[in-house]
Order: sequence, then C-alpha cells, then structure tokens
Amino acid sequence: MSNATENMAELREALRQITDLRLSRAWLVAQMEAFQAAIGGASLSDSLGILARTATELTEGDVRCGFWIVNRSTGTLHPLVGLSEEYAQRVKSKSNNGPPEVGAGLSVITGEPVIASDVRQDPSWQSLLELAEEFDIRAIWSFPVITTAGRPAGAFSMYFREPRRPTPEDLASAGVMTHAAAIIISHHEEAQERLRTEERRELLVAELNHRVKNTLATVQSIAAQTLRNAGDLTQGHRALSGRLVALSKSHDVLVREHMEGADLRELITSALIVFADDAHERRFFIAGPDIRLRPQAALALALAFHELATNAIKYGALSNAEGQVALNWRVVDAPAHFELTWRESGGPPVVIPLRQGFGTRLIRRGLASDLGGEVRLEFDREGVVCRVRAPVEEIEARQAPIW
Amino acid sequence: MNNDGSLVGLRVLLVEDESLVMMLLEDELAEIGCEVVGFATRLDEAVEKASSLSFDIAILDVNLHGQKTYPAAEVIAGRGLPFVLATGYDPAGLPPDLGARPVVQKPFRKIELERALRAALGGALA
Repeated sequence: MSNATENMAELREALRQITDLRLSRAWLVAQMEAFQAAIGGASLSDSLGILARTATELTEGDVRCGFWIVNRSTGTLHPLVGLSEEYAQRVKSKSNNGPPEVGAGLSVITGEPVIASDVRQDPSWQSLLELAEEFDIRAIWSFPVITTAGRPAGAFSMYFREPRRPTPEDLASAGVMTHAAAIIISHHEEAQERLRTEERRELLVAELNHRVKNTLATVQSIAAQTLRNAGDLTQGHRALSGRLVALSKSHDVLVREHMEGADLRELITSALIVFADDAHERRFFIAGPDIRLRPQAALALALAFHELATNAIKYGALSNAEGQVALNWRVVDAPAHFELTWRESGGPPVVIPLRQGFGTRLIRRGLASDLGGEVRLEFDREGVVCRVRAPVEEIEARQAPIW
Repeated sequence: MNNDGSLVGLRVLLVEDESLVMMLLEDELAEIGCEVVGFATRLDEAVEKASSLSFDIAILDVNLHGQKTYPAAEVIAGRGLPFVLATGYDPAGLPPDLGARPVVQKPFRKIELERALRAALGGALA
C-alpha cells in the first residue's frame, strides 16, 4: 500500500470518528433535552417529539420519523408524534381488531424490530402497496418501545422515500432512541399514576372529613338532649355512654360493608347483644327475612333499638324475670313496604310516661324522618309496642354494582 | 330581625336530612326564640317549601342524601329571602355565589348559629 493511500485511509477513519463523535454528541443533547422536558412535566408528544425530530435531522437521506403509542386501556395503537393521522387511520382500516400486523403494529406484537427495506419486495406489505405509494413510502423500519417494566408501550417508526436497509449504526441509533423513549414513557405513566392516587386521596380525605363532621354533629345532638333530660350527672353520663356505644356499634356493622349498607339481623344482634346478658338471655325473639339497609336507615334503627331495649330493662318486659321482646319484620307488596314490630310482653303493667324523653322523641320523630315512613310507639298496658312502616325503596341499600 | 336586634319570633324553614341534627337545630332555635314553621329532609320537599311556605329565614343543609341543595337556595334567593348554609364540608368548596352567604360548619355552637342568622338578615336588609 502506498503512503498516500495509507494516509487517505487514516484521514477517512479520523473523519468517521469525528462524525461519530458529532452524532453521539447530538444524540446525547437530544436525549438530555427530552428527559428534561419529561421531568419538567411536558406532554408525552412534546418529549418524544424532541427525539423524533433529532432522528430526522441526524439520519442521512429523506426520512420521516415518528412515535406510535399503545393505549393501555384499549390495547390499540395510536400515532403520537411525527406521523400523519390520515395514514394511521388508513393503516388501521386495513387491519382487523388490534394493532395492524405490519410495521409498528407488528413490532409492538412481537417486541422485535420490523424492517421493510423495500415495501414492494415485502410480502406483508402487498395489500398496502397503494397506501405506501400514496404516502410516498418505499422503506419502513419500526422498532418496539419496551418500558422498564417489560411492557410494549409503543413503537418508533422511520419512513423513507427510497428503498433502504439499516446499517449497524442505524440500528444502534434506533436502539438509543427507543431506550430513551421507554424511560420517558415509564416516567410519564408513573407521574400520571401518582397524580391519580393523589387526587383519590384528597377526595377520600374530604369525604372522610365531611362524614366525621356530620357524625360529630349527631353526637352533639345526642349529648345535648341526653344532658337536658338527665336527672343528675351520673344518670346523664351513663345514658350518654350507652347511646354513644350504640352509635359506634352500628358504625362497625356499616364499615363491614364499606359504609354501603347493613344487614338488618346483624344490626339488631349488634345493638341488642349488650342487653342479652345472663339475666336476659333467650328473651329476645327475632325473626324476619334478609334485608340490607342503607346507612342512614341502619343508624336510625340501631339507635331506636338501643332506646327501646334500655327502656325495657328499666321499666318494661326485661325489668322482671319473665318478660319477653318479640322483634319481627317483613316486606309486603304493592306498594313494597317494610314493616317492623317491637312487641314486649310479660313485663309489669306499663305506665304511660309523663313526659317525652329523648328516646321517645328519637323514635317518633327521628326514626320516622330517617326512614321516610311512619312510626307508632304505644305504651299498651300489656307491653310497649313500636310499629315501623316505610317504603322499601326508602330504606333498602342500593344493590352493589355487579361490574 | 326585630328592631332590638333579637331573633325572637323569627319564622324559620329548616332543611336538614339528619334527624338528630334537625332536633338539635330545633332545640337551639327554640332557645333563641325562633319559630320553626317548616321542615324538609329531601330536595324536592325543600324546593317546594322554599317556594310556597311563608317564612323569614331558612337554614339549608348543603347536602341532602348526596344531593346538593343549591336549587332550593336559588328559589329562596329569588324570593329575596335570607338563608344560612349548614355544612360538614369545607365552605371553601361552595360555589362562588353561595360562598358569600353566611355558613355554619357542623358541628356548631348556638352562638355561631345566632351570628350566622344575624349576618344573613343583615345582608337581606342591605
């Protein structure tokens, strides 16, 4: 080899290295810009747009570059940036459901690059040649974008007007490109997820705050009325504690069903269990069909049962050794009504109370209002009777959605 | 409001879906000397009474069984009558035209209720 030829070869090698360096530097700058955009909260099309533009600029020859993205909920492939919407629609219309099984679509399905160095020679493009012609496409290279979690999230596509086979350098550049895109897409998805979680959390906290405030207002009302009616502090304290425990227990039943409803039988058991000690065991007779109550109806009934039972123990059927309480309910048709009866028997003769206490007011006023129905509380001589009648639609919990 | 600034004799429409809170309001209004002339626990009932009942002021729970009572508030405002909003939510979340109205946040003290009633009446006179 002559000296001159040798020198030429060295010069060419040096130039190639300089070009490589220049390209590498341009790629690094583009990646950095894209990453900065993504971290700064830019849209996915803006961040990936920087990469697509760089690829167009740095690839020799006439090339168009763009990104496709997979919609996570539908699994369909959409043009994100650098692609013609019309072209995307046309390719889509040629394929059945799911991503088109050519180019970008195929690369997403297989997770491998799909290279058509000349569509006219490529069997998979034969039915789409007219379309390729119309959009002046001879070669299409598509590279899948696989997220850090291993999910195919989209594809990077390069379209040439002339037939073209990728060099190892082209493949390496595309690898850099899709790797950067994968990081940006993963970052974007995580940011979106964080935002959704944060929004959900804020909604939950606001709703919780609202419920707590309402419950506190209820407690305030119970306390005010209990203290007003109490003979002395000890009596008031005991009555208030009993009522707050009843409220708390009914909340437990509701929480078990995510505050959406409460099974009536479970509610009754929970409200009356404190009264069913040794002395009062087997003195409650409870019967009725399954029914799920909405929260407000459940709370109102639980408090009413507590008042009725407290009264029964103090003055009624549970104040001696023989008395009994029958608690029955049913649902009658046309129009659908819920009927419940609390009936005491075997206790000492009932004396009609001289004044209306909290319990009586709660049952006559509160229960009727909260159930949207009628409530009759009667102090029959043979025993206290409380009758409740309310439209089923007013008190029944909504069916949980099935999907 | 009477000339001496007392709230005695004021006729009140109460809109509230929690019966216990309703009872508390009733007792406190009775202590203040107001007369509760109507109740509503649902939105349709509230709108109906807001438009047809004869009253001096209304106390409106913002949320009835998950429904906002804004339509009732509009009817009352349309009649040029004052109202106080009662809510367990942060008042900052109210629509702008209602945010300017007197609000009592549950749970509240009687004195806060009185203040809100006076503020609502003052606004109605101005």
